[in-house]
Amino acid sequence: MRPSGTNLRFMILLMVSVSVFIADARTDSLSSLRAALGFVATPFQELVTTPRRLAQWLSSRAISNPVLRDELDELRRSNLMLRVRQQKVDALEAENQRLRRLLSVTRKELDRVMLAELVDASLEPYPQTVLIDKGTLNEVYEGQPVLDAEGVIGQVVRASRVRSRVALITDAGQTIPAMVKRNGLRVLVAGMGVSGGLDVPYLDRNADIRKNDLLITSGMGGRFPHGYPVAVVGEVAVDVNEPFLQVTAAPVARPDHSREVLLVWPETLPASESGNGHGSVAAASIAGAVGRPAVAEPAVTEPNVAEQ
Amino acid sequence: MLLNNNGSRSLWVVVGSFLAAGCLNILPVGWTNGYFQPDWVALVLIYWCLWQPERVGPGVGWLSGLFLDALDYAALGKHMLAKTVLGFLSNKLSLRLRAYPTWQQCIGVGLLVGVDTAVVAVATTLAGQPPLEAPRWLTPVSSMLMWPLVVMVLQRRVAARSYR
Repeated sequence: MRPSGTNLRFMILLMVSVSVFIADARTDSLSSLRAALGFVATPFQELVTTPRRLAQWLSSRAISNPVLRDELDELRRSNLMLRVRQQKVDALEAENQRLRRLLSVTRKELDRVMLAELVDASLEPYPQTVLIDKGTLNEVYEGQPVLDAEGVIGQVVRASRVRSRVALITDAGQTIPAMVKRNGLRVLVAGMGVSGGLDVPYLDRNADIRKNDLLITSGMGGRFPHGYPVAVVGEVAVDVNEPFLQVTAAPVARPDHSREVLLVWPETLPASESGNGHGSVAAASIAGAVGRPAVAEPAVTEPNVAEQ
Repeated sequence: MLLNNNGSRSLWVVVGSFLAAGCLNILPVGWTNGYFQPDWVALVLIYWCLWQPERVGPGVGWLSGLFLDALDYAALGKHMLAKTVLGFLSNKLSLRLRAYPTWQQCIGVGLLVGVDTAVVAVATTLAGQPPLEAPRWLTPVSSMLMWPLVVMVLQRRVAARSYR
């Protein structure tokens, strides 16, 4: 009937879509629209995930007494161990703060954390990202580190009001500054995408890195706090044709094994540091300018903190 | 007045079918490993574009794309773009496809969803996200297989309205 009208409408809508796409990809101007849209989507996710949650609830009600007793025993044991370890950490924390005060470096306290649950209602089941049930309402921000009981899972890439998308460290676009726990050697850990493995690039052929070395976050870059496990080194291969070592690693976090993750608010945020500028400069200069000697220090203290 | 009554009722059928399709799209089907992942929203959109071309077209496609973008929490705009194109193409092909028997329509629907997937893939790459996983390229095939089901369910709703 009105073919020209349809064509015109199509062209206009096409241009609107493209400009929305570009605006969202290149700028932050649509973040409020995105947040509002996320709010609209939440009820649908709730609806879709209800059967599964119902089934889980029912099965948790149906657990027999002996199983529960075993689990309680196990929890009691691990709680005891954790409390013993906690005492040690408390002591170290106090000592650390005293030493830091002597150095007049910013106080570093334990990071604030919050539990979040994975939402299993994804439009595209990207294996490299997960959806969690916390958002900007819970002060989640983009770039926030996400951990599980084993180590670093990834970081928040999209924060909506009550949902956020987390890119796993195995995502092809993700790189984390890390260090070898054994000797403090600084490395980068890059995701390799579909395969689910990690790459440790740019290491000199004579770098001291071995199979089964634990890589922990170094705290460089200010996004991931220092000291959380990231990956275990797998193969270390020397190719005479390549200038660097060929090192692969496997992530220690198991996002497919647990439905719960931890959101972390690092105590030394770049934003809060800009408030007391002097402290951050001091910290940066110790970490960056002094370089090697500064690396040696955590290498000595680190095993005590984590292995007790 | 009769027309008006019918119109408002069919509007709710259309909206309801899109919302249900959106829920089906995000339904966790982990056991299929992403190999069976029909784009229900695309199927519903194609259906309405074929049988109600004067009401449903690129505009409704755009809205359904907005809905999908909301469900996705990733780059805004890529489903918008894909579904606008899909609505436009389905409108253009409505007379021809409607004349075919359902099993032949499947082939056309597969091609249309293929175009949709290709647009999403290009937009995903342009947005700097990792490219679509290989199983995602089976979406046109699984959508094609689900087309008769969609036609059956929606046709029953519309039969009472004696449209066409």
